[in-house]
Amino acid sequence: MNPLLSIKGTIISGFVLSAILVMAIGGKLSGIEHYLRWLHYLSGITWIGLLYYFNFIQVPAMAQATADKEPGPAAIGRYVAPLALLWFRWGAVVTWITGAAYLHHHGMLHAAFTLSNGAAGIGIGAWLGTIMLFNVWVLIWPNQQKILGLNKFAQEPANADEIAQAKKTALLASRANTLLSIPMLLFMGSSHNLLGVLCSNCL
Amino acid sequence: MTTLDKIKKQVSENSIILYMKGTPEMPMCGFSSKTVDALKQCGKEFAYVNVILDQEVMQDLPKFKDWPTFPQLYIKGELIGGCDITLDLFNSGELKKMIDEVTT
Repeated sequence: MNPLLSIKGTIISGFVLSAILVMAIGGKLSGIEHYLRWLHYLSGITWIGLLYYFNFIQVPAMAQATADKEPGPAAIGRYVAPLALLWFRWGAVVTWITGAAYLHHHGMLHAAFTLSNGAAGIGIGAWLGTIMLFNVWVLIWPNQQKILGLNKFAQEPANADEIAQAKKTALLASRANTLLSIPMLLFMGSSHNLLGVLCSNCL
Repeated sequence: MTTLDKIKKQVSENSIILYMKGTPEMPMCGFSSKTVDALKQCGKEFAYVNVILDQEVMQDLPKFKDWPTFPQLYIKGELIGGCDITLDLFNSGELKKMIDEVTT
């Protein structure tokens, strides 16, 4: 039985290998903060990786496919985009929840979001991530549902005008998130450990 | 109780105490991070105060022993110093000796 023959088997194997490697170096993964941080990275990469896929690959490819007529963009819209959006929007939720839980675990949730002295770095990262989560669920996903006809509760499919408007809103929100992701990752990644510039009153 | 009294109490009740930004598991500043790493490697338990969560302490601690910056390490009520001094002491093996002395 080859675990690489299914996605589930692949992911489970990744966790099993992690456990083996941790034991091999005589370490231990006790304490919820390790799991929260780990899940935060995994889901964050899933989310932002797909965001970059949409911005750098799917949007330009859709434009090219629409111009080419043959084979056309239909297959991307039917097979690729819905699955990418599924991992994208839930990746965003898991990223936010694990990040907030991690800060809460260290008693820093309030200090971060109020940009308290000393926590402003991670706080800015947290705020940027929160704005991006809002964009995903309020601006990108509902409009993508219209564009791709994925809304099961819609009485009738969106008309051409509505779709054109939805495309514009979703695209701009997606671009905004790509822009925000750049400072977001700077602040997320550096505020705990690196940049002296972000905590200049240490020295 | 004034903030300075509170700091005095913390320092006298804990033989090893580190005033830092963040927690030992989640240091919020490179200097606090390096200092807490050195302390951890000495292998003994120590107390810490996350000054981000106690802004009064953050404000008043510099006045306590006239040391303007964070982190600040205290052993047996004595200010040892900040990041650079702690690391120097750690690298020379002195820090471990000092810590072993107060914990045995």
